[in-house]
Amino acid sequence: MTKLAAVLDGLVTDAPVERSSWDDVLARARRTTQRRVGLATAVAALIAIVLATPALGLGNGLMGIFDGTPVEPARVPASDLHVLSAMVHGVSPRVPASRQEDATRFQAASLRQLAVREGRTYFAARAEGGGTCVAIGEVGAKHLFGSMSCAPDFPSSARPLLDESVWRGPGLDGGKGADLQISRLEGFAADGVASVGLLVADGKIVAVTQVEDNVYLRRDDLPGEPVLGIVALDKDKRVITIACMARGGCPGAK
Amino acid sequence: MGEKGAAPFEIEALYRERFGVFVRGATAFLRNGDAALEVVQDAFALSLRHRRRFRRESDLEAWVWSIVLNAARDRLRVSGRPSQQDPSTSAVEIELLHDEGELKELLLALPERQRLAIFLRYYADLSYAQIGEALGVKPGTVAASLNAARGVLRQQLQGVRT
Repeated sequence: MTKLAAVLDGLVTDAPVERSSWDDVLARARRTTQRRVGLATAVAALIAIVLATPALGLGNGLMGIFDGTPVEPARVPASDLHVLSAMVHGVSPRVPASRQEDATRFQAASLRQLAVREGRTYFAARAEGGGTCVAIGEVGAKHLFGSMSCAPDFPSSARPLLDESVWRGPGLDGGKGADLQISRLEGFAADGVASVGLLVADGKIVAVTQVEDNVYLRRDDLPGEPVLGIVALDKDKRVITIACMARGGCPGAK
Repeated sequence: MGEKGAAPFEIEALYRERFGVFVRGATAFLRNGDAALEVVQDAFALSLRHRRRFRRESDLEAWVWSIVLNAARDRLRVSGRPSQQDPSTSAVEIELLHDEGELKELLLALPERQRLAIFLRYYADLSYAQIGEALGVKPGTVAASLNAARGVLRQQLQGVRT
């Protein structure tokens, strides 16, 4: 049937086989989600978003999680895999689980590596029941994850940042909240957050740090003065939200 | 009840490995490369959205093919008929028409199920079971469809040779 093969090959001479784009697929998946959200719950959701974040509307839980590179189970040490699987499942890692249970939960979490920045690797996984678990590890360390945390409302308009910064000062042990100082600005940001800054006295925003691949990191040029809160900014440098850590509230950002 | 749901990385892996196959099959069905690209991209986006509907005792590629074909049928319904070929390919088409034009016309005139069975077998190298899943029919029906199509085309091939 060589003539048939020739005809079949001739039918697809203009097939755009070189134009694959997984990023485009992801973008379409997000658009589909946003359109679906827009039907039944649009009015309520829109009101909530507008009230919470007048600077922009953030999408729902799909954003960010599909970006990055999938992490194969074989790359994850068994102990890390168990901890992640427990956390995405919403139970303590001390709770025993079979390898099959861990593997199933790990697969459902679709762990992705978002970025590698200054020797640190950033991961995100889908938490069961909604939200996201994030993890950070040192490149080359024995364990893939050095720290891990989950938030049922991240990423969302109510919580566009999942901050993993390192702090020091008496505020950590019940002292004055306004005395908190920062050693490393680091964390995860929802789509739509272009940069992150630190709110200090008089409402000034300093140490503004770009968000890339939903991750922010700054070690240098951090303020020596107390930090009142972390500010999420959009691409036009408008304040999306302030995560206030000062007792008695934060002044308006300037 | 089998386990349900496909992981996003599985769908991504399928896309990265088999994109060319999907887009060739869709191009043959739609007769338009740009439209095929749109359909394949949309279909993979949909498969991500609906990945929990996938049943793991099924074949992931066949499941995605069923989404691709549904999207392609929707597109044909909107446009009314297969789109015209891109002008850039018309030269190749003309050459084919001299030699195999009748065979091509006959192929494209086959009932949709027979035509799709041939496309999925040739471009995607799917098994009868996979083709059956993609088309929503039993493997035996696939075999019958392919036999019927080959019978019609064989007659035409004999005609071409004589």
